[in-house]
Amino acid sequence: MRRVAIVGVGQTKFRTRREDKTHPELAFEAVKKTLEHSGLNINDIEAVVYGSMDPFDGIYRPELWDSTSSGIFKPHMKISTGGTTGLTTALAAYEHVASGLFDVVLAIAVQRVGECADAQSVLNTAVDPIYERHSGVGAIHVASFQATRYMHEFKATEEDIAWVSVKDHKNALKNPYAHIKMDVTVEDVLKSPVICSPLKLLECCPRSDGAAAAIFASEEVAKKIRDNPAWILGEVTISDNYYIGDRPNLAVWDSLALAGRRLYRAVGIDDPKKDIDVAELYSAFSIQEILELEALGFAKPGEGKDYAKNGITFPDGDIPTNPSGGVLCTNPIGASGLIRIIEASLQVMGEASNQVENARVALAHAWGGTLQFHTLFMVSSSKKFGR
Amino acid sequence: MKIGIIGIGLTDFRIHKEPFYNLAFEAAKKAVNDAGIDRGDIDSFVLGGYDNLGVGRTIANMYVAPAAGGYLRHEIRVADDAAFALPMACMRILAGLSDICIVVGFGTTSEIPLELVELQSLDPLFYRPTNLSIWAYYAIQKYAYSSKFGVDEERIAECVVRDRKNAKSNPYAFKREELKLDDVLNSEYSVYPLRKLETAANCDGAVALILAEGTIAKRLSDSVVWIKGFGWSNSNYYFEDFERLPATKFAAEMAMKKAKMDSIKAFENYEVMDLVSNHQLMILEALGLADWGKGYEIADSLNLNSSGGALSTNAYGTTGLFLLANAAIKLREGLFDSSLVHAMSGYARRSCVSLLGV
Repeated sequence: MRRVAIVGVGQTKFRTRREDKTHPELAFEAVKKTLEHSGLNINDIEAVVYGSMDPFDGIYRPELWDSTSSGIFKPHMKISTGGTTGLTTALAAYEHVASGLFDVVLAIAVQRVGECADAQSVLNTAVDPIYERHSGVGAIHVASFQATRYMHEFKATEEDIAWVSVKDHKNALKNPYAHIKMDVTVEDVLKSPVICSPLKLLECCPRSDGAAAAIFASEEVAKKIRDNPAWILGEVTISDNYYIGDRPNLAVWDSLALAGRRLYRAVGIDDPKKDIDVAELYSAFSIQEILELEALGFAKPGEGKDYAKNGITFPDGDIPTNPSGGVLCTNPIGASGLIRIIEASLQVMGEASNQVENARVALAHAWGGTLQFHTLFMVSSSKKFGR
Repeated sequence: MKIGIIGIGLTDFRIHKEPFYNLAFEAAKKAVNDAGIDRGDIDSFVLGGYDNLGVGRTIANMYVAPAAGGYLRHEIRVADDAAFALPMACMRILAGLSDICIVVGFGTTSEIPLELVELQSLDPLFYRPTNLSIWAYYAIQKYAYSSKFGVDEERIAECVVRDRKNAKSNPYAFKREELKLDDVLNSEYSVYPLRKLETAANCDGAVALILAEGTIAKRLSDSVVWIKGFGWSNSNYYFEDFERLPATKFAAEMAMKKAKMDSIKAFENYEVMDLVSNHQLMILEALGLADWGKGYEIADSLNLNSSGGALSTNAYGTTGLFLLANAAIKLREGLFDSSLVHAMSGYARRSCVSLLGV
C-alpha cells in the first residue's frame, strides 16, 4: 500500500467563544498555521477534506462558507460522523492520498460549539425520539452510566477517577492552544459541582470554539517537505449498534477493544504497553480514559483506575496519555478527533509542546455517537513499525 | 485497479411514512440480495446524505449505519449528496483497504422545510439576511442564463417535458405523469421566472450500491458495471457566473483526466442532476457537450436523463446516487455501453461526475 505521512499541522487557540473571528476566519487561522508548518502554500493543496458537526454552529453545511479559507475550485469533501468527525476527516484525507489519486491533501475541521445554547440538548436530538430522547440523554449521561457501572464492577472510587482530570489539567498547562488551563488537585476535582453523578465539573469536557488542520502527503512528496514527517502506520473505524441500552457492558468498551485489536494486527503491534510510546485518547469525561486504557490493552480490566493515580499515564510515566491535556481540557467536538492525530503527530515529530521523551509511535483515538463509533490512527517517526 | 458495481438496491421514491433509516435498510437489503452476497461479506460502509437540518436528526449515520448492516465494521459518512460518497468508497478500495464496500444514500425531503434548511447554509452576515432561497437563486440563474445567451423560455421548458417523458417508463421515478410544453409554460411561477413545474420533484427514498475490487467483482457477478472514473469539485462560495456551473466543469475535467479519456461526447447516456429546468442545459454546456447557450441544440440528440432526472425525482441527499443507480441499471440491461452521471449540491456550487461503463 502507498505510504502516507502527515507533513504539517496547525490549530487555533480554543476558547468558549471565539467572538473575534467568523467561521471561515477560524478555518483560515488553522489553515495558515498548517501551511506555514509544512512550508507549502494553498496552491500545493490538491484536495480538501472538511469535517464539522453542523448542529452546534448556527450554520448548516459550513464547508460552503469555509471553502473561502480551505480552498475553492478543488475536490472538496465533507465528512461528518459525530464525535469521531475530526478523526474520520483525517481518515478520509489519508485515503485520498493512499488511493494514489492525490499527493497532497488538506484535512480541516472547524467547530463553534459556543454558538449553541446547550451542547447536550443538541446531542439529545441524535437519540431515538420515541424510546430514548425523553430521558434527556446526551454525551455526559452515557459517560456517567459508564462511570457508575465501572465503579460497581471494579470497586473504583471517585478519587481514582478524579486523578485522570488532575493529569489532563496539568498537561494542558503546557499546551499553548488548550482551552482550560488550571492546575487542579484531586480535592479540587472532588469538590467541584456534580454535573451528572458521579461525574463532576472538572471531570467533564468544556465546549470549545476553534479549528484544526493537517496536511497528508504521499511518501515521495513527504520526504521533500520535511525530515521528520509523522508516518501513518494504520487506521481503523468501527460502528456499533444504535441503542445505548444494547451495549453488553458499559464498564467494558468492547467495540473499542475490537477496533484496537484490528489496528494492532494491521500494524504489527504485539504489546501496546511496550510498542506504543504515547496515546492521545478521546476522553471527554475522566472515566473514559480508564475504559479506553483497558480496551486498548494498556491495562487489564479493573487496572486502568490506578494508572493516573500511580503516575503511569503522566508524561514521564510508562504509558503517557493526553500530553496535550486532551478533550477534557479542549473540546471543539467535530475537530477534537483531528486534534488527537495532530498532537500524536507532533509527538513523533519531536515538536510537541509537552514532549514525551523518545516518542516514536503514537496512537490517536476518537469516539462518537452514544458510545457507537470509534476511529483509531497509529503514527510513527518511522515508515514501518519495528523496534 | 478496476472497481465494479455488483449490486444495486433502490426503494420506491415517493413520500414515505417510514423513517429514513428504514428506507436505508430496504435499499441495502435489496443491493445485498442483488449482488448475491451476505451482509457479512461487506467490509466497509460508506454512507452519503445529510444530517442535522437536512434529514431532521443529528448524526444521521448513527441510524443508517446499523440499518445498512454496518455492525462492528468500518463506517464513514460523506455529508453531501450521496453521489459524493462514491469517490470516497472508490478511494478506499483503490488504497487496498476494502474489497467489498457498500455505498448507501438516503434522503427524506418530506421531513424538512428544504428552502429554510438550505438557507441556513448561507453565511449569517451577508447572504442569509437576503432570504435567498435555493429556488430564488436558481431563478436568478435562469434569468441570467436566458438573457445572457438569448435562450427562449420554450427551450428551457422543454427540459421538463423531456425528463417527464423518460420518467414515465422508470418504475423508480417519483413524478411519472407526462407533461406537455403548454403545461409547463402555463404553470404558476415559483419564483419568477422559474415556474413550479420547472423545479425538482421533492420526495423520499434510499439507494444502495455494492462496489467490489475488480477481481472480486468478476468472480461475483456476470454483469458488472465498471466505474471508469470520477471527479468532484467546489466553486466560489460567493455567487458569480450565474449562467455557468464552474464546479460541474471542474468535476468533469477531473473525472475525464483520471479516467484518461479524451472526449466527453463519447458517452452513450447522460444523467444530469437538473434541480431546475435551466440546469439541464447549463450542465450540458458546463460538461463541454455544447457551447455556452447552445445546450438546447444537442439535448434531443443525446440519451439524456433516461431516469427522468432530478426534475422527476429529488430525494434531497441521495438524488445524485439515484441517477447513478438508474444509469447502472440501464448499463446492466444492455441499453447502453457507457454513462456519465452528474450530481451537484450547495446552491449548485459543488459537483460530482462519475463515469460508468460495461
